[in-house]
Amino acid sequence: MKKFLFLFLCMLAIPLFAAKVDLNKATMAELKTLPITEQQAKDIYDYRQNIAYFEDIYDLRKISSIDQMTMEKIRSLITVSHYIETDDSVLRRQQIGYLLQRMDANEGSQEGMSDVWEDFLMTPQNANGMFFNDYLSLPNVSPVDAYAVMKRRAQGDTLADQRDLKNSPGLSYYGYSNMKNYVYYKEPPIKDRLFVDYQLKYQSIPYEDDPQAMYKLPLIPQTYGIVASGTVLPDSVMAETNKKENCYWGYFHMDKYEASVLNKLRVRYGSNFKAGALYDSPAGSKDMFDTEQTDLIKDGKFYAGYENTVDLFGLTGLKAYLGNYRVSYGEGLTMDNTDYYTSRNTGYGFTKRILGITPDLSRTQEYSMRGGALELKKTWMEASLFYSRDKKDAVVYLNQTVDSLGVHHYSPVKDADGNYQVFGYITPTRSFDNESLEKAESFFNQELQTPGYIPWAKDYINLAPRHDILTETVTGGHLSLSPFTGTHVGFSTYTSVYDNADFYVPSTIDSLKQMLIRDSYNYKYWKIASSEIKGLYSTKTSKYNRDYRRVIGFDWMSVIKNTSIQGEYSELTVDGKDTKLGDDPKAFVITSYTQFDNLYLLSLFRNYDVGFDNPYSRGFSEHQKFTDTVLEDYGYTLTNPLLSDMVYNSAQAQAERGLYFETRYRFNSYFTLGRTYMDIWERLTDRRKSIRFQGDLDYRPFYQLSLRAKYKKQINRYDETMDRAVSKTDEYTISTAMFLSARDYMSFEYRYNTVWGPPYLSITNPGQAMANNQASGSTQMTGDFIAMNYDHNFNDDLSITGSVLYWNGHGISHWDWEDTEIDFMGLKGMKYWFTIQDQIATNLFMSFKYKYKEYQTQEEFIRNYNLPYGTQDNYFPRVERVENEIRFQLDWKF
Amino acid sequence: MNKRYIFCLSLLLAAFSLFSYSLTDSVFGNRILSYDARSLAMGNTGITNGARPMYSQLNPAVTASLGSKLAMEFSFGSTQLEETRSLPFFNQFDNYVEDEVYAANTHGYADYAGAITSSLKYGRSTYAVGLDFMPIVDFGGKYREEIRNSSNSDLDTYPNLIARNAITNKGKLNSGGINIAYMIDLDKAKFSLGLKYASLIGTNDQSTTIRWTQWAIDQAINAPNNWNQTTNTADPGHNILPDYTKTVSRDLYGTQMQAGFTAQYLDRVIIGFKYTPKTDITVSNLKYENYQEIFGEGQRNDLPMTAEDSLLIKDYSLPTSLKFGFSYTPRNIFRTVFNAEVEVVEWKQTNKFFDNVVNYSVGLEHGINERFPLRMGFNTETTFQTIIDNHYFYANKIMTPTISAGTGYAMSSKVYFDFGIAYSFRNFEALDLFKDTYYNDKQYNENASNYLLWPNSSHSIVLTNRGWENPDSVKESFVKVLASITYTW
Repeated sequence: MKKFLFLFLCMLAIPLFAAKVDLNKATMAELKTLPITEQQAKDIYDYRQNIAYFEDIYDLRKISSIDQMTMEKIRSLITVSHYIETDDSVLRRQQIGYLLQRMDANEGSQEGMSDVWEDFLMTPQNANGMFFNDYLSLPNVSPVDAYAVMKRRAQGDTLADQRDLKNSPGLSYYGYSNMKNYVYYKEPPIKDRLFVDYQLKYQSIPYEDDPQAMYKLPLIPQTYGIVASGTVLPDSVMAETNKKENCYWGYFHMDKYEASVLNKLRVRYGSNFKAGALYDSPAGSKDMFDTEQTDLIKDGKFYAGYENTVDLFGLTGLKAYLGNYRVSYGEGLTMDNTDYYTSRNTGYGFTKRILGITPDLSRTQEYSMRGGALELKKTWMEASLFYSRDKKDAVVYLNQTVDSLGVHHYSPVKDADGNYQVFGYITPTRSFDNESLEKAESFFNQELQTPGYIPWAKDYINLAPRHDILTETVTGGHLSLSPFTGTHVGFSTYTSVYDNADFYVPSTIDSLKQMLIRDSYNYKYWKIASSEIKGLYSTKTSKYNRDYRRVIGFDWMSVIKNTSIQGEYSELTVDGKDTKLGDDPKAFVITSYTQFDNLYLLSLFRNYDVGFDNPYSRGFSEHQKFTDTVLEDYGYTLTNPLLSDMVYNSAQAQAERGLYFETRYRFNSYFTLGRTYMDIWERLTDRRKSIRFQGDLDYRPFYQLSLRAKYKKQINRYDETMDRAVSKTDEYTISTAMFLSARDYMSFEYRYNTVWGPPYLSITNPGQAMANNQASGSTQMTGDFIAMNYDHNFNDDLSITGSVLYWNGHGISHWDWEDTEIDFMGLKGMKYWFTIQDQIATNLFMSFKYKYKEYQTQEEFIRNYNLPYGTQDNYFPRVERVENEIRFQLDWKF
Repeated sequence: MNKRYIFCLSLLLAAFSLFSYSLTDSVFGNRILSYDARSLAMGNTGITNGARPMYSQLNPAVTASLGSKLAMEFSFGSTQLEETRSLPFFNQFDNYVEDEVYAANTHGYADYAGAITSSLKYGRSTYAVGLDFMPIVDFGGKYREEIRNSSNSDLDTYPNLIARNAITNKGKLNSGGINIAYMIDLDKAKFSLGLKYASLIGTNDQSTTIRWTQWAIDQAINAPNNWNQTTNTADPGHNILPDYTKTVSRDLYGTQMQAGFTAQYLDRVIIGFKYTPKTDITVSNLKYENYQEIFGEGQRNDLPMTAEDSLLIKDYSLPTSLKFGFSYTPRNIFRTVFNAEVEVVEWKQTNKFFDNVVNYSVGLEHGINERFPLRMGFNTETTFQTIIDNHYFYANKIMTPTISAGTGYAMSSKVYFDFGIAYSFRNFEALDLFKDTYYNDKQYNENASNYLLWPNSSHSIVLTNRGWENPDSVKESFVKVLASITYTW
């Protein structure tokens, strides 16, 4: 009996010792062993597989088929082991998710740099092994911050952890909080492994005001016939001269809905081996599957490279890249190869340059480097060398020949050496292939030379952009020596050799006018500012004859306590000697930056000569090269309106001299003076003097609420008699932003602006059609703008952001920063947009944006397509336009 | 009746009102990619999931993965098409500024589709068979345009109506198919194979008419120089304005084969492939009429077949389509299904001026709760516009992006209701559908020196035909709504 009793007790105890079913690990078969229905077992399995791991057994109640009774029944039979994410890359991404999101949001203004910073975020660098420029290249880290850390290390100190970094003497709070995510101290948070990032982006073409106007400029104005014959031509002829195809817009059928598709793949192992490829099919071009293989390579971008810190006579940083890469030195005066212009690019805060060599998968095409680059870094020196050979777009001269049959032919001019004659670099808004451009030009030229008409001063298109016509070989490098921590002196140079082309600019203003402007009547629009065009570089002049362009530069930096002084001097070799300074067109920038915990003061002086035509210069400036020249303001007078792209997509700075001050001061937790600046500068071509001020004050009575007032003023004073003497612009903005809950954020903004100018004489003319119909006749224009923005986070993975705006412009251009891109709005209208951000899975991210915009385009009179000139009863005051825009982006990060 | 049934029924009724597409596709029709509300809401994706019986139309292989012995689905849909045609306008500096809408058409079309599938599980194998019916190409389109002169417009009254133009296209190519599928379950992986045979039957009727209004006819009859007409010298006061009519009618039939394959790994990832070879459609009972006729006079003047018609209406085929799909079911706070598909359509087979195109589609489903999903999708489709210009034949690519969203409701464990809505748009250029010189009454009136119908011609439109140098700017937008109801046993 005792034996039986013992056996019975043992049997009773078996369930106590039997393993419980672990909800986070059990197979379907194991779940079925529980005293629940098969459907309930399936639901539990389904929940774990598709929704979430169980935090505890009470999560069972989130499953609708499991009631309290069932849970009570099985609670003694089940257990929940805590799920711990083991994939260190997923963990790291979770940790820095918000920073990655912010990075994506800034992609538009930081073309290509976000990739580099994203890599640094994912695989941080060793805080105790970085070089001065490594710290300096991090977003929002100042030279004073970099110096503070380097100084500690130079004294033999080691950064032990985040708190230790924070306590570094001289390191500002901003510097610390921006640096901390990009560095590690003892062990990297993520081991060396393979990372793959793939991005697909589909985007409908956004409306771009200026280029669109350029494409719509008529090649054959209606008055062409009238001026010629002195009489109004019959209707039938009029209909012919106003064919829609007589502009690039109509000829290339640019009305069609078009989209750009971007495919980008980046692969890297740890932070040592990196490779990537990008193919961007901008709107209007062939898609990737239609493109010839050779063009895929030619117009695509790719790189492969190696980066490491090795022990080579001491700690040495090494970088080697093949393919496309980016180079940036000093203040960007000698070399900084991006296609994109950024105004007021100080190199501080959010307008950073990543110094040295970095891989390049941006959409930059024109100024991209393709070849090989090598960089070596030590604490006391940095050296880099690069070589690139690539084809570039350029504006070339066209020649007109007439064959024996009287047929006209137009082809790029070649000089005695068989080289193309090139006017300058150009980044076309739409990259048409050369064959299509030639056909279009031939068509326009034929129309322009209709027999019986008196021709223009220049009766054919004599200058035109051509795709990949210029073969450029660039060789250059940089050497910098650093005798003390935080101080360096550097030398940089590059030489571009042109194998098949010579740059040529007419030697007199008169010949330039005759070349660029179609009708002698319009020569008056060549104002003094246009003399900037004269400053374009020629490879052949009466003084020298060569096939290259060479730029040399010096940069320096010194950090003294909480102040850094830095600068760059750069010179383009024209007719002086390479070895002699000051005998050639030059550019220089000098900056002083002082930093306190809650305050910084930045002052910058720059001076760029008109003749300093360095296509790779991206120095600080207020305006792009050729702003306010005939290329921008009077596109309709040009022999070829496409030349306006030389301004619209110019990445170079305008020749100017000026002094810039910037500050930010956080008074206390309530009041902050946001980025506030004042710039006083003079444009060197026409001596226009300008002053610009912007300041904003933020009041935050409690964390959830922010009230902000912003004021901007700009005054331009022209000394040119042709222009208004003075113009004054004021902009007043008030905004409020509030967190309605932990998941909801809402903001309102109201902006009011005025532009004042002295009246034109024509204001006294009768206000009737064809006599005085210009809105610009008024002395003051006013515009305003109201916007509401709302963000809602459904959960950590899904969020929606949207905005509704109404604006009224009257010729004043408004701008609005949408989720990742800036949008310009003219006249009046409304728009709304929303973006859905969705983390579909651990490695898969989706973003979708839709925008609806309706607005008036031009407050000008418009004329029916085939009506005679001067028929006034068919004029309408304005037109309305509606746009739909879609952006779809998919990111796979493995 | 239960409230939710009433709600769903009202949505079904709301969806049942219309279906068709662009006038530009009156010859080739418009491909209908899917006729299931869930698929529509998810960017027309679904070649990997056997979520609904109608998915047999997307890929015959998925029938076997539906998981129920018998399932039926019916879909009802409507499409509203808004089409505007505009003319270019120029500013006083001769810049092309914008397009002014001169004809706006909004029409609606409706249709339905259905499918039934049955499957049998035996050990690791599942055998399935299904029947389905759906329209796969729609030829429908309506266009109405009024021709008016500009008289009286400055007196705040309507200008005279001269003629009414109309285009009416009807017809569909319907597919009735049977499919078989086999699936094997190897614990960690599942593989399915399916074949489909479909009979395609359809009609296509096109009608283009120009009808002069009574006002225009009266002007002509009462015109002082009417009696000068050679043909009417003996009997003045006759109508001289010929109405125009063109009709095309054809029957279409053919057979289509499809083969599909899916492979599923660990409940999470499914890849799918569908192959539809080129399908030649037999065109029969082709009737073609093209003539002018003066109303009330009984004179009919037959015209030859137009150059475009002679090239396009006699043959018809559907190109080869290769579709690759990927479906991913991640672990997400919302129950989630993500589909991405790429389709290669070999349009080159149907016309040497066409290119092969790649269409993308992406769809996402989040289960807000167990019964209520939220779906969204995005897809692009490239089609071709055929152009004959001065005897040159060429084709323009037209890209149509579509954004879609939808939801559904599991009314019980056996009944699902799905609702999807999609918005597509496209802009392109096209020739004037009705050339302006037709309304130049001088040509019908012995080339009289003055217009009869355009009294203030010095300030009005010049009656010349616009070619590709001044084409119409066409904007089309589609709003498609689909509702599906599925019953499973």
